[in-house]
Amino acid sequence: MSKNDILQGTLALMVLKTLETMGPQHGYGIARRIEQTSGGTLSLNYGTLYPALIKLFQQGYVSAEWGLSLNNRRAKFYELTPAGRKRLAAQTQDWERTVELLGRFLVPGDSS
Amino acid sequence: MRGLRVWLHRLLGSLGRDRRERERELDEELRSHLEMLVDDQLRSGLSPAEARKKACITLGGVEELKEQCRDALGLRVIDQLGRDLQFALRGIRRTPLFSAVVVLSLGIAIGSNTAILNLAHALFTRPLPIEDPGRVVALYSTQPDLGVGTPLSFLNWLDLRQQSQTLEPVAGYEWESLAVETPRGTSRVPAQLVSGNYFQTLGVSPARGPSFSPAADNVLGAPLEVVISHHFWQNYLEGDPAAVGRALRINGQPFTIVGVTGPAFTGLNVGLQVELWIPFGVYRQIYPESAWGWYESRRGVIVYGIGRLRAGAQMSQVRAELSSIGRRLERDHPEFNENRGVQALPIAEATIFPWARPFVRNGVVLLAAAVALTLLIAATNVANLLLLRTRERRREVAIRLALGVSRGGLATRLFVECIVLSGLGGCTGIGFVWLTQQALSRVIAYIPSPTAGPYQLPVELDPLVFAVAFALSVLMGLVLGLFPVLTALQGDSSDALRARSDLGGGEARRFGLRNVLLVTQLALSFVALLGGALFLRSLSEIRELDPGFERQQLAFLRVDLSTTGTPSNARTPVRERLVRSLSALPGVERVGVSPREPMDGGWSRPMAPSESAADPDARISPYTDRVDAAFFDAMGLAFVEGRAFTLDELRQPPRVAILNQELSQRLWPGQSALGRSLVLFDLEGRASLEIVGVVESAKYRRLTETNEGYVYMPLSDDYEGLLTFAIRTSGEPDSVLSAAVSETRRLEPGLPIVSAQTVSQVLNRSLWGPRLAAAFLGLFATIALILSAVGIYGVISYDVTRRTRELCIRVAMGAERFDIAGLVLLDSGRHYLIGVVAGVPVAYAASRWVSGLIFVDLLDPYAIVGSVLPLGIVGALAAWIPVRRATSLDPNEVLRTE
Repeated sequence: MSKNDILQGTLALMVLKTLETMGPQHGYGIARRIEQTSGGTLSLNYGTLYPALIKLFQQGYVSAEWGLSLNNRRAKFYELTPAGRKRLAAQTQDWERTVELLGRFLVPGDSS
Repeated sequence: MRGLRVWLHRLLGSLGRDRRERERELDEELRSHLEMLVDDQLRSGLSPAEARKKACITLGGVEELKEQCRDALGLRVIDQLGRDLQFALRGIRRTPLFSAVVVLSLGIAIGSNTAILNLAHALFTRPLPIEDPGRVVALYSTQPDLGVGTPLSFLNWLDLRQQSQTLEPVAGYEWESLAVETPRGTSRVPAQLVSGNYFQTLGVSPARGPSFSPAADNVLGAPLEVVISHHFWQNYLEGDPAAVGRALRINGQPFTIVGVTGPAFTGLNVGLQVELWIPFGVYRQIYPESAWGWYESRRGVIVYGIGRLRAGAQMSQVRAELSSIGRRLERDHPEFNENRGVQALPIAEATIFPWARPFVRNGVVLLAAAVALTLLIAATNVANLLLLRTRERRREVAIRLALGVSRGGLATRLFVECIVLSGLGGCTGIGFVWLTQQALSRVIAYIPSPTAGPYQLPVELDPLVFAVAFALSVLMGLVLGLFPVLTALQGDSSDALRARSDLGGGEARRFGLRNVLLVTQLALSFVALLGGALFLRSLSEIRELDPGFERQQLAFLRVDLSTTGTPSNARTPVRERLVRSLSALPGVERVGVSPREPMDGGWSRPMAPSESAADPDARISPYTDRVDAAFFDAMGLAFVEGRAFTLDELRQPPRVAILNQELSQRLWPGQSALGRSLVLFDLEGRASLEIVGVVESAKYRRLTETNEGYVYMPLSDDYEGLLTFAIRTSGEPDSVLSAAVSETRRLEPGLPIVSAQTVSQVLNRSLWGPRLAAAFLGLFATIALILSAVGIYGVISYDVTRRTRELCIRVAMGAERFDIAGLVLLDSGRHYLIGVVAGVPVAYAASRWVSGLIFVDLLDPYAIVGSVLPLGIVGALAAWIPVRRATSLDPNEVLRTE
C-alpha cells in the first residue's frame, strides 16, 4: 500500500473511531491523530478529510461547533452523535468480519 | 433516510444566504487548520517564514481543497443547474419552430385540461364559503314517486325544526323570482325566502349591515327586511355606500335593506346567484292569496332545509333521528305525508340540485374525456418530436460522452430541457385556460336556469387547480424526457460518431417507437374528430326537426303577474288589456296566451278516458297546457276537428279540453274524439273534461321528443302568474317584438318582463345541450387535427432528411420526381391507414358511451367522411412540405457533401 492510499470507506470509520477515543476534536487534530496512529504509514489528503467530515455531518453521525483549541485558536470541533456511535459499532463489527474472512483466505497453505 | 437527509442538506447548502454563510465557515475552518499547522512547525523550531511555507506545502492547493469541500457541501448543485438551464434555453433559441410547436401543443393540452379541472373543482369539490361546511347538511323529502332532492313542505319543515335534537339550528330557504324596483326600472331577480336564522346557521355574516333582526324568524308577520347580494349591490345600486338602511320596493312592498353579503357568498347552489334574501314570514304581504297555500299546507314541497350538526352529534345519529321524525310526521298527517320521509345529505352534495347532479357529472366527464384525449395526442406529438431531435443530436451526444461528460450529467441536462419546454407549455396553457373559461361561460349562460337569473360559471381560477396544472406540466416534462434520454444514452457512442447518415432500410426497425407514437396519435385524433363530427351532425339533424308550430313569424313575450301584488281575480283584466294593445300593434296578426313557453319544460297530469276511469291500467299522464282561444291560431296549429275554447269556457275552471292528434289517435284510434271526455285526477279530486277539439301534434318540451300526447285546457285565473304572449306577426318578428316590449312597459310600468324572444331564439336556446357538446367537441377535434398535422409533418420531414442519400441515389439512377413523391407519401399514407383502422375499436368503445347523447346513428356516413377526410387532407398537406423538399433535391450537390 503506498503511503497516500486509504481503502475507500475506511476514512469515515477512522474519523469516527478517533472521535470516540479522543472526544470532541477539530479537523487538524483528527488528521494528526490518524497520522500518529498509523505510525507514519499514512499521510492524510486534506482534500478527502474535509469532504468526509462534511458528509458525516450531513448524515448526522457527527455534530459540529465552533470552539477554542489548546493554543487559543478558533476552530470547528466535531463530536460523535448517538447515531454516529451506533454507526461506528456496526462498522467496526463489519470491518472485523471482513478482516477475519480475508485473513482466512490469505493465510498461506490454508487453501482447500 | 440518511440519503434524504444528505440531499436536503445539499439543497439547502446551495441556496442564497445559507450558501454565503457556509462559504465563510469553510474559509475559516481551513484557515484555522493552516494556523495550527504553522503553530506545530514553529514548535519544532522553524522560523515563522519557513514554518508558514512548510505548512502551506503540507496543506496543498487550498482552492482545490475548497472545491472538493464545496462539492460535498452541495454548493455546486445550483451552479450546475444554472448551466443546464442555460443550455436548455440556448437549445430552444436554436430551434424556434420545433420549440414553438412543442410549447404550443403542451400549452393547448395543459390549458384546456386545467380549465376543465377548474370547472369540475368548482362544481363538485370546492368547499362552500360557509363556516365548517362539513357539519352542515341539506334536508330533503323522500317520496318514492318524487325522486331525489325534493324539498320539504313548509309545515313539515317547521315541525322538523322544532323536533330535531341532533340538528341545531335548522334553517330553510325557498327559491323565488321577485320583482324589485331599482333606479334601472322594475327587474325580476332570483331571490330566496329564508328563515330568519339562515345566515347564522351557515355562519355567514354580511359584509355590511346587521343582517336580519330576531323578529325575522317569525313564521307570520316578519318585518319587511332584505339582505342583498354583493352582486345586486354593485349592479343595481351602483355600490351605494349608504345601501344599508335604504328602502327597496319588492313585489310592491317597502322593504328595508339590513345587510349586504360579501362577494364570496352567492347562495348555496353553485353557479346560481341569489340576489335578495327576505324572511319567510312576509309571504302574506308579497304573494297574492293564491300562493299562500304553499305556506299553509303540507301538500306542496317548497322548502329546502339546512341544518348544522349539534356539537358532538354524528351523521348516523342525525339519520336515525330524521327517519323517526319522518315516521312521526307520516303518522300524524297521513293525508299528505303518506310514504313521505326526511333525508339529510352533506351540504357539499346539495350545491347542485341532486336531480341534476348526474347530468352535470356526465357533461363534465364528457368534457374531461375530450381534453384528456387532447393531452394524450399532444403528449405523443411532443414525445415524437423530442425523439426526432434526439436522433438528430446523436452525434452531439456522442461527442459530449467521448469528451468525458458523465451519462448522469447528460441525462440531467436533457431532462432539464424537457422540463423547461413543458414549463413554457404550462405558461402558455394559462393563457389558454382563460380562453377556454371565456368560451365555457358564454355557452353555460345558455343553460336554462331554474331561477330568474342565468347560470354563472364560477370562472375564478383556484390556486389548487393552478398547482395541479403546474405539477402536470413538470410531470409531463419528466415523462416526455424519458424517451429522448433513454434513446440518447443507449447504444455505443462510437457508432454514432462513425455513421454520418444512415442509408435507410437497415435502420427502419429502430424507429419502431416513433411509428407507434405517430399511429397512436393518428388513431386518437381520428376518435376525437369522429366524436366532434358526430355531435355536429347531431346538432344539425336536431335543427332540421320540425317543431310542428310556426317557426318564423312568431315571438314570445313573458311577464310575471305574481310579482305585482295583483290579486288573482284582478289578473284577467290586466291580461285582456295587454292582449288588446299588443294585437293593435302594426305587424301583429294574432296574440295567444299561455302560462308557459314552448321548449321550457312542462307538467304532466294523471288522466284517464272517462269510459275506463275505474281501470288503473288505463291511466295516462299527458303533458298539459292552459291556453286561450287565440293560442292555436297564433302558434300556427290547425284544428283537425272541433273548435277552440269559447270566452265562457275560458272564464270558468276547466270543464273542457282540446287534445293533440297524437293523443286522440292513441286513445280512440280511427274515431272522432269530439264529445268524449277525460277524467283528470287532481289533488283536490276528479274533474271531467269534455273534448271540444283536436289540433295538429307539435313538439312541446324539446325538439327531440317523439309522439307525446298533450291536453290543452282553458286558461282561467288560477295560474301561478307567469304569462307568455305568443305573438304571430305578418313579417319578421324582431321589430314587432321590441315594439311589444315598449308597449308593455308603457301600459304596466310595474310589471317585470321575464323575456322577449323570437321563435328562432327560443328554438335555438332549447338546443343548449347539443350546442354545448358540439361546440366543445368540435373545438377539441380541431385541436387534435392541428396537432396531428404537426406530428405528421415532423415524422415525414425527419424521414426525408434521414433518407436524403437514398433518395438522391434513386434520382441519380433515373427515378422521376413523381416516384420520389410517391415513395414518401406512401409512407405517410400507411401511417394514416393504420391509425384510422386502429382508431375504429377505440371509437366503437367510446361511442357506446355517448350513444345516449347524440341524435344520429353512430355509423352516420357524413360524420365518418367528415372525420376521415379532414385527417387525410391535413395529413397529406403536412407531408407535402417535406415531400417537396425531397423532390427538389439536387443529387450532385447532396452526394458530394455527404
